[in-house]
Amino acid sequence: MSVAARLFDGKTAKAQPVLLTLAEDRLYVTAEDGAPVGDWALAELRDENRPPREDELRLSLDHEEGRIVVTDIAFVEQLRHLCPALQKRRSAPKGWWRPYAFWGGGAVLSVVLIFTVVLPLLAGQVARLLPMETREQIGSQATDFIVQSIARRGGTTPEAVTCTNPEAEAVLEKLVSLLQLEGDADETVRNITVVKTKQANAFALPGGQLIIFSGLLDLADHPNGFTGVLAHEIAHVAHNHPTRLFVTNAGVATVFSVLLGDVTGGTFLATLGQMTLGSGYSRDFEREADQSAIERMQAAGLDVSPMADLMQKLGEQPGSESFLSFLDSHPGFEERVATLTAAGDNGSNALSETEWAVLQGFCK
Amino acid sequence: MSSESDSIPAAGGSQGMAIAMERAGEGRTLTYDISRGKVLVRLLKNKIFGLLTLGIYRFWGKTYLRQLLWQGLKIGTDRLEYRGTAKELFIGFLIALIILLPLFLLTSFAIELLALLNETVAIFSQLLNFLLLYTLWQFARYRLWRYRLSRTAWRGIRFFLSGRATLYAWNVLIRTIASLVTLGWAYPWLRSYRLQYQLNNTHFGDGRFTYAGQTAGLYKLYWPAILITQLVVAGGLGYLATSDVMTFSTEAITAIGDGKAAMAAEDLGPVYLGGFIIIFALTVFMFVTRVWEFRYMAANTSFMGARFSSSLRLRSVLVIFLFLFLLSLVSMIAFGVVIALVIMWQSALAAILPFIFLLIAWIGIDILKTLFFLVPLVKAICKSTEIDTLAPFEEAAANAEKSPSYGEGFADAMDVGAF
Repeated sequence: MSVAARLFDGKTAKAQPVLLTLAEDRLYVTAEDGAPVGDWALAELRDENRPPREDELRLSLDHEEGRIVVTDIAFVEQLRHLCPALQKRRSAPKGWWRPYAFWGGGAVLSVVLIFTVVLPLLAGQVARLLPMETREQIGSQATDFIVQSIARRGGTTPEAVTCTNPEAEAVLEKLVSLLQLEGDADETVRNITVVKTKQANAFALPGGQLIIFSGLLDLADHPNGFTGVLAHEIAHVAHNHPTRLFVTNAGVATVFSVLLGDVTGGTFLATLGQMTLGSGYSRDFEREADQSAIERMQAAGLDVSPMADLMQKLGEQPGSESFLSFLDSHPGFEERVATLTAAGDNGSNALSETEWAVLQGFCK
Repeated sequence: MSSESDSIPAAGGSQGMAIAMERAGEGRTLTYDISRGKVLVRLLKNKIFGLLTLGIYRFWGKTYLRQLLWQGLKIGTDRLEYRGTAKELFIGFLIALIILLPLFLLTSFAIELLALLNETVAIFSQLLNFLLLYTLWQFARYRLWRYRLSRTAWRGIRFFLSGRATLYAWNVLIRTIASLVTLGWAYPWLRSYRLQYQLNNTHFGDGRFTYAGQTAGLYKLYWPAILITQLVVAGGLGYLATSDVMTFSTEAITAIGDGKAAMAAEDLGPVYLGGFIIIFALTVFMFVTRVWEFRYMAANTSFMGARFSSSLRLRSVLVIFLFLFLLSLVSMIAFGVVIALVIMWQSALAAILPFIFLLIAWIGIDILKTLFFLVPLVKAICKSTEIDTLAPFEEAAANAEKSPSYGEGFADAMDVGAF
């Protein structure tokens, strides 16, 4: 009892008429002239029709290209009953996972390398190459943005929250020049904006721009605590950290838009990714700035220990600001306090009582 | 059971096939039949699992969907078979990630850097970025076709696309720029190149397709479309410049700034309506030209002596287009009504409605596009396309040429290709 079917051998498109015979759980295939073509265990047969068709089986015998098309309805039914694995997926060949492991590993490695080595390196180079005017432009745009958002929250104008106080500015300038090192060369503080707000914070922006929130002046009990924070921000400027961060963030956005599989629609998610991964300084940057701040203080013969007190207080502040915050992604408090304590409490005060009072009254 | 009479040919070769075809009552060489229900279920599954796996499932989902779509197409008595695997797509994606990511980073960094150092570059940096993306997109498209064809089998023999994707992308870029600069007059040159390069590089087994079309032939089809587009755009701009609409709309825009949005929307009405009508009319006109182009392409394509022809009618394509348009409109209105009712019933839900809206739109657009555009269009094309003889196809032998080992990574990363 045999049934005619068509065999496609995967070598030519011509249909070869064959006869199919069932015997002892095997399917025997013979050519029209009776010459045997092959035989297969029924458990090995698969139907390649997707979705399966009522009136046809397109049998594949192994991982090769060949197909046998059966259209004899009765025989199709019979095969459906006899072949247990007709619709099951063929088990993967040995070592199927190797390309996954190889290329998956490569992709992971590539992404990790890009984030940890390539991006920071490139960011450092690009940041150095950026002309000062461009950096100042980026910095003042960021300053405007911050001042505006503070003003909006307070329900006033940007002019109202930007403090001007020539006397206090002179004191601040004196402090800054005290804290500059000779090696700073080009990377110096060019502009300081003091913003009237209850928040205590300070940050450095590209182009040597500093922003100080007046809350920080209120929170500091001792001039040297404030001076320490200032030294920390000056150190960021001296090491060109703000520009490097800016360039890194631009790179991170690019990486995310590629990772998410489309260039047009993934922009939203890319921005989200950038915000979570790229918003703050790395701990290395912070450690560098801390170290440099202590050096600057000691070079000027100032006592570092009040910094530890101010930092404790800053840590107790409810909900620190999220953007470029002085507190975000900083090394652990204990570690920093320990560093400061190790520096010892010797040296003098940065400002006289009168000068400190003038500075504290910057926005009053 | 059995029976020689029930089953297909005793005699092999094309003669046997011809008999079989007649017996099956098949007048046409190309047919497309597919279960829309199964496609719908597959699309829904793809979206849901895709969401749950953060997109990783898309490689499997795409593969299953292609199996369905491919098998719908019947040439003579035999269906196409999609032989790609999800693994190939996934690894193709990983490879693209390794190559594409650094490439992307370096080029965009280079452009940004140049822009920052040089003001003239800064002005063009957006354009440069766009051209870079566009070229990469064309490259990816060609690779996508190469992969898809190499995974498409008929009677156990695969298709293949030769040629170089870089060469193709470069030539398309030049012709696209020319089209932009000449306000559309170089567009038929671009279309002609695409058809010529893709079709002449398409193989089935060891046989090759031939496209004999000429650029001049496409100009004959395209000149009305180009001319009308230019006239409409020029007319629209002229109208805006001379009439009161412009002053109205500038007032309206100022009004939006002043917070009188309701009034502004009313004033902008004619502008929106006019723009909508223009875009709608141009789209319809573009479709008309594309139908002509398709017929021209079919008439000039042959495979080792087998000639193609298409009697695709404008009406059949326009009906599909209009039906899709109406269906989209109706579903949007119905959707809006449902949302309005929900808000009236429970106003607290209003906060999460935008997310639900986005989710449903995201799934709905795909369903509309696949079930009510792609499938009917392929059906109409198959119904209207004839191949004078299948004999050369049946004579084809497997090609020894190497097919790509892994899938369309670039195209996937760039979101090229709808299915």
